[in-house]
Amino acid sequence: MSELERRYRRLLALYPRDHREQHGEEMIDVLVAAGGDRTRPGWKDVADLVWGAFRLHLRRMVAGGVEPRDVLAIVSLLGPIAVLAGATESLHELAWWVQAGALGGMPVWQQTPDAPMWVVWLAVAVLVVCRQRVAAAVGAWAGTIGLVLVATVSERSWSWAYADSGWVLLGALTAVALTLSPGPVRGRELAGRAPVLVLGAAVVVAVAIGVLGYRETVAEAACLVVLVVGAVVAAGAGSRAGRRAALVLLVPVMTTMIEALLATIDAFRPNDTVTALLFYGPPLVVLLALGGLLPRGVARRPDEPLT
Amino acid sequence: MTDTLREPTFLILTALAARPQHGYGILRDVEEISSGRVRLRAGTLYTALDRMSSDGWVAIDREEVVDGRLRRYYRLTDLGAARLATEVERMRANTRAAEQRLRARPIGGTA
Repeated sequence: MSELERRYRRLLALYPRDHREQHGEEMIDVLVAAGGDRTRPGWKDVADLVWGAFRLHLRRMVAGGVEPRDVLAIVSLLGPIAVLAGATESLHELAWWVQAGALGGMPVWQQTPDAPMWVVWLAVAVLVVCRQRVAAAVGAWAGTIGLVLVATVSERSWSWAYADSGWVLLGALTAVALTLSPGPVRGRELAGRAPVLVLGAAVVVAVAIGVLGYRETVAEAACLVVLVVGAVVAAGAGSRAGRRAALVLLVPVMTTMIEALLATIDAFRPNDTVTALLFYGPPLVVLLALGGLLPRGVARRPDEPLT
Repeated sequence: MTDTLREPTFLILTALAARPQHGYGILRDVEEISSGRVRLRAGTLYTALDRMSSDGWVAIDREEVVDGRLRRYYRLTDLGAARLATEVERMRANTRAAEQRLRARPIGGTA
């Protein structure tokens, strides 16, 4: 292998894996043939290859070729685990009362009204791992409706419309996935390596950071980063279905960002309905636009498997 | 309404119109068709082929191994040919209009 070819191969490593597998060797052939007597790629070739790799990665991120049922199958496996990160606030309250040595006097209904729902979601996660899909689906619907009801009737009335919107939305999508998709068994085939373990670890770390660094900007940002990395790795960054499933799992991150954005606007106090639209609308639009829930792009004909 | 084809796309489709070609052949043919004005590079070519195959405009015709290397030939599909024909007609209409306007232009023009 010539030095020129070796350098071109290094550049081709930037391309999406499926593209490399399909076109890598012929691209090397073309590049070496066009390279003539050179020993290293010219800067125009380097720029052209880097730009091409970027465009193909971008295209794969936002365009077609994904079966929505596969995306939902991964969500059905990982959604119940991701939802558990929503228990951070309740766990912080619990930790505070434990630290104060006054756990027995804690007004549960006031401080952690949603605690029973997180127990339900923990049960759903266990049921999914134990392959009890039907029971898990029932639990997921109960957990989602419960989150809304608890938020509505407790002192945190309407929090489902903003602070809890991400968890309610993710819970609902998980319930849909458990009900309609091929299920967690199929999800396990499609997701990344040890998906339950990876996302479970990420959620534990994120919750721990959130509890210890409650309402501290750096800690909150660290929580989001851990959840993003955990969701992407667990769902499978190497597959289109995995990336789209990760997008669904990151709905609470989206709503957190919306909350942070709206907090920067002074004197912006929309009513509850507008608030709900602002928190639920954009994540759903993003999921639909980027193919998290529906396929995008032109379907490839089976006899033309070019990429 | 159909979007206008970008020049590299137009030239690649043109290169494949008469016969299937492999990647390096397309690069050289594009240069020849454009009288040396357009010199595509591999990154641009394969990004374009990826998109055109998604759109159903080109397809793999056959594969050969030459000197131990894979050589893949691409062909224009009927859909691709129709898209190229549409673009040619659009350009022809523009050219006709430009010719008519130029003929109508007063000799010497205006100051």
